[in-house]
Amino acid sequence: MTPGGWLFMIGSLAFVWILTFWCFFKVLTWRDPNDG
Amino acid sequence: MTKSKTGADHAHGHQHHHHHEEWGTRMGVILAVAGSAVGLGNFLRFPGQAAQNGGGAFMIPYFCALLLLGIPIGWAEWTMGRYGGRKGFHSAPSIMGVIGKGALARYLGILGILIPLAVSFYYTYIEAWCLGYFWHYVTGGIGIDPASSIHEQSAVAAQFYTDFTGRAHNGITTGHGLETFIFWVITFVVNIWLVYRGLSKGIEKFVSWAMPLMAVCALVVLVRVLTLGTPDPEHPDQNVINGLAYMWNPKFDALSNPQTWLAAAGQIFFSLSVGFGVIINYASYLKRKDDVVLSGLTASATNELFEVGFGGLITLTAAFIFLGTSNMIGAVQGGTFGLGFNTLPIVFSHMGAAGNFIGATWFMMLFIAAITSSISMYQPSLAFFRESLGWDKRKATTLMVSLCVFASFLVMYFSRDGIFWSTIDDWVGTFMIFILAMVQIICFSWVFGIERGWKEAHVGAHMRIPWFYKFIMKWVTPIYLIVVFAAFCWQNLGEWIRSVADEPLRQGAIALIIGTTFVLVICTVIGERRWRAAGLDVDGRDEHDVERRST
Repeated sequence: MTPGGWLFMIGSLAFVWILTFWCFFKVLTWRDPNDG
Repeated sequence: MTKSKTGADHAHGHQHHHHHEEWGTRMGVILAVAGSAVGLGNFLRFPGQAAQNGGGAFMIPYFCALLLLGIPIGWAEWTMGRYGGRKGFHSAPSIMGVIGKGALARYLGILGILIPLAVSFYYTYIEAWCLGYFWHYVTGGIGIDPASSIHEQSAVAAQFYTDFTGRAHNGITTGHGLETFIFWVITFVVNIWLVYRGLSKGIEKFVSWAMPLMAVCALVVLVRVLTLGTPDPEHPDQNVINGLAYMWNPKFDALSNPQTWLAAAGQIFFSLSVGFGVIINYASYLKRKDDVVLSGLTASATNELFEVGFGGLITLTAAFIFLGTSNMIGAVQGGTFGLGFNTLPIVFSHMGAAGNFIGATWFMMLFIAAITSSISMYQPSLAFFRESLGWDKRKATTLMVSLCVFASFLVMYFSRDGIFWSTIDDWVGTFMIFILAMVQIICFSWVFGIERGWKEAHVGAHMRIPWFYKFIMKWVTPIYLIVVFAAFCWQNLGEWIRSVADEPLRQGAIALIIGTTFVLVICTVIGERRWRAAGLDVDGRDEHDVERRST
């Protein structure tokens, strides 16, 4: 695999994993401010 | 789950209109939308498209389309759905009528019922193939001899596929006899049962264990593929790293080819299920202060994880390791279904004792991916028949099931070369999605108004949309979409029309689409009268709701 191949693969995987984790983290840790 | 009336319902006196349906949890609706989006295209269509259109370099136009088309239209659809739900509506025609302020948008909104319904006519059939293949792998495989030549193995796999799907002749009992039909009956009954049980007890409960199970299946197959190493010492070049390289090595010259950009936009579109009519229905059951921004983004992200993170690593890598470069071209050009049903069975037969287990896991995963999508195709028309005709759930389900059984029977009977169903796939599952997405983004950003839409999207939002998306949603997304659609028509439409003129099976499929549309138009006419008589805000005249609510 060329360096470009590694770059695109790792970059794309990092993007989708980080985005998904960030989203689910936000969803699961969100507390309604009105709930105190 | 009984207190389903929102404040707006009481305020407007629409109680009689509410279906007493709502989501149980926030995660439930996110998983339901993600489940709708993650389908066969993630594992089969995406890797083929990427490999054919620049490898790793494909990801540049792909992520551009994700950020400029997929995610913004998704946010618009979530927002419009929740807004329409508050007005007492749960289907694309009624909601688009409110957002687009009038009859034109309302009747174009029929596409939001036609698309999921007509796609379900063949999608559930293909889903049944996954179940059938799964069954064959559990009970001993499909009869490929790994000691024979690749050529012979391909012939066995292709013959099995042809027989199982009845491609050789028209008729229900050709090929494997009634077997495929029985798998369809099982698949269809499970789908209708889940949808009939209702949003939270059926769809939501199912996706909350089906999505994690699908992730586990995908992980099992991924780990197996990535640990294959170099299985054949005589072909040291056929190893995992070279398999990944086949998919990911960038070919930058592809970026100067418009076809690459078109393919990337097309893939994002069909993969995320935006412009499909599903999100608008699912979001209409949200409460008025439920978040749509983070939920929409999370559902899209989940889809991308399955597509890039699993689809991008498993499918072509496995095929390459066992087939080598020379056989890959045929595998990739075999398209979505060729890759999944013809090529991968050969790969599994080379995995030794674990082959049948991995094959069964793979097809179970495809089946789950398909069923979480197909249940989302039935829900919009069920809600629409209830809302437009004022029928109860049982009567509306009977109408929907009758339509689906009739149409699916045609799909299964006219099975020769898959012409009948692929015609529906082209015209409804591809062409009309572009049109509905254009209608949606134009109605949202221009008729409803981007300022109002922006404010509405942020009601109860758990994150803010970055400020520059206001500009993207008003200008970039519609223009990008129109350009892509024009290029798409330029490239395909002439040939598509000619191919309909030449082939009676295609004409039959078009007649089925027109007939279905006719039924939906009649329902919309009846519905419009009923909604007006009930005093609902059919044409979205009451524009002060957003401001009034925030004070």
